[in-house]
Amino acid sequence: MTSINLDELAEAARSRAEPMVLDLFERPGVESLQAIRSALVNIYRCKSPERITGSFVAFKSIDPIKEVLPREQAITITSPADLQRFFGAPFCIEIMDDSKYYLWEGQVDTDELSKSAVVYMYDRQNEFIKAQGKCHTVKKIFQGCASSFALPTYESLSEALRQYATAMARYSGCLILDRIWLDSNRLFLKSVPKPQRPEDVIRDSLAQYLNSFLRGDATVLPEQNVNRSQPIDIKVTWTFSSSEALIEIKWLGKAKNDNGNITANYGEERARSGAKQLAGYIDKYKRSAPYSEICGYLAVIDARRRGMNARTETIDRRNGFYYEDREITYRPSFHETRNDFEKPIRMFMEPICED
Amino acid sequence: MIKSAAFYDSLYIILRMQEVFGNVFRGELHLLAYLSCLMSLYRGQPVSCWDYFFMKTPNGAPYSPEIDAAIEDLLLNGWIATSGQHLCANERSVDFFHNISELGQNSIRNEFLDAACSSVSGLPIGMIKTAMSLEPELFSAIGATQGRILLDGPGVEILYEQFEALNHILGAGAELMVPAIVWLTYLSQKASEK
Repeated sequence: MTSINLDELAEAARSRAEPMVLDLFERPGVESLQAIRSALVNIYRCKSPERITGSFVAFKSIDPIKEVLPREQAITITSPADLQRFFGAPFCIEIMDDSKYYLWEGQVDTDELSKSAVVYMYDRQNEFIKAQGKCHTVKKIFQGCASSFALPTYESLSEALRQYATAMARYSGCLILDRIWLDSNRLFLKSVPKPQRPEDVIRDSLAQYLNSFLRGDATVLPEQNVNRSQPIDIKVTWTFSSSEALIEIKWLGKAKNDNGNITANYGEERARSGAKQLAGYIDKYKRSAPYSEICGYLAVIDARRRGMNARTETIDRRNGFYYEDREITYRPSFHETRNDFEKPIRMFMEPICED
Repeated sequence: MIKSAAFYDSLYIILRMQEVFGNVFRGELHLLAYLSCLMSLYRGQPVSCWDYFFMKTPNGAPYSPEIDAAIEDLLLNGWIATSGQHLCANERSVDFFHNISELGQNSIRNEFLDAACSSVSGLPIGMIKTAMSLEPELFSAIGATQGRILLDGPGVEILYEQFEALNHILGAGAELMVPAIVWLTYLSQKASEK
């Protein structure tokens, strides 16, 4: 780590709401912001922000005794699960110290609220913090996540991989992953040399996701050798345990170069060969690290679409989603015959269809 | 002999993380204890005042043998329990903690421990872990002999330079949680560029 870059540090300070809130409301403001964060974690556990189509406001009064909005006109909510039915139309909640919320339906004047409260606003995956009329746009901590206040944490690697499939791979949700596509409709992967090949980009995206959200003592290491010549895509180690995980990534689908030629066309067989390759890696790795508890994970990034040729530019839903639920049969099925091989996880990547 | 500071810090962090996650991993405990120690340096305390030291693990994470000994003592005396790889406190330990948290030598540490633990609500713990890999002392220990003592090497000067810059931008009296979260955000952004 070299010397600090003052401009970048100042930018990091501007990217956070805490300095603004501290400046305007001092310590009680920061405490109110903390209370909002804690409440949002619970709220977003009950209602995923990706599924919220409308907007809502949450605020924490600097002085909890003072009524910023008339509480006798509010609906009292005692559990975040009870908020479910209000999403869809605008509403506002006041966060109280005893895990209770007051709720008002309809729009509120957030400028007025922010004179004596820290105010959080959610509007179609955009988030804002307001204090004394000043509005801070919350920067996405992780591209692809609908809310920077509902960032996931996973205790198990399998769970993290499944969530990566749903939250990131399915919609090409992060900036890194979006780079694999040649076209805006997500039909063909880019045929480019190392280190920008689809497999390189997917590995970097997955490694970054696991690094960010895997809890515990895990260390995520991309492109690690299992022996002198064979690299596994990602290795995960745990400091206080002898467990180690080897993750092999295979992508399926068609890749095209800038000249419009299809350079790769990978189907199910590639996933099956990936499983065999991973089983071999595990065996080799066990010989070099006999005291480690190794487990293999195969992540299959499925970008297949039906009925495409080199000239295809658009696709309908029927062909675009043809492989969405078509699981791959593995022969042999190592995940059923070995206890060091997890069930392969297929991650379907959606195209953008014309209908 | 268990260091009372390590004992107190361990119990504090376990209870705070239990509020957020329901449990804590050992590695998270060492990481947050180290971050707390760094926050005490931010406030101008000398390293020696922290009462226990840290080393780097082969994976480049901070580790304190005294924290480990404190965890074992907490387990042995039934203040906490293990569940898989997690550590969890019980109601008895909550009461015990309240009794000791305002004692002079412990209460001084609360500000630093609070700043470190509060940062977990502003950034996912995985991102904090990644950000901390660029903390100057841990970073300068990469490739060094395993077991090198932290906060005793060439990174300390850079660390103080970073803290001075934070002080300049945020003001010297800022609530400690704010420089902690801004600094971690900065390091996290640097890590994502790598």
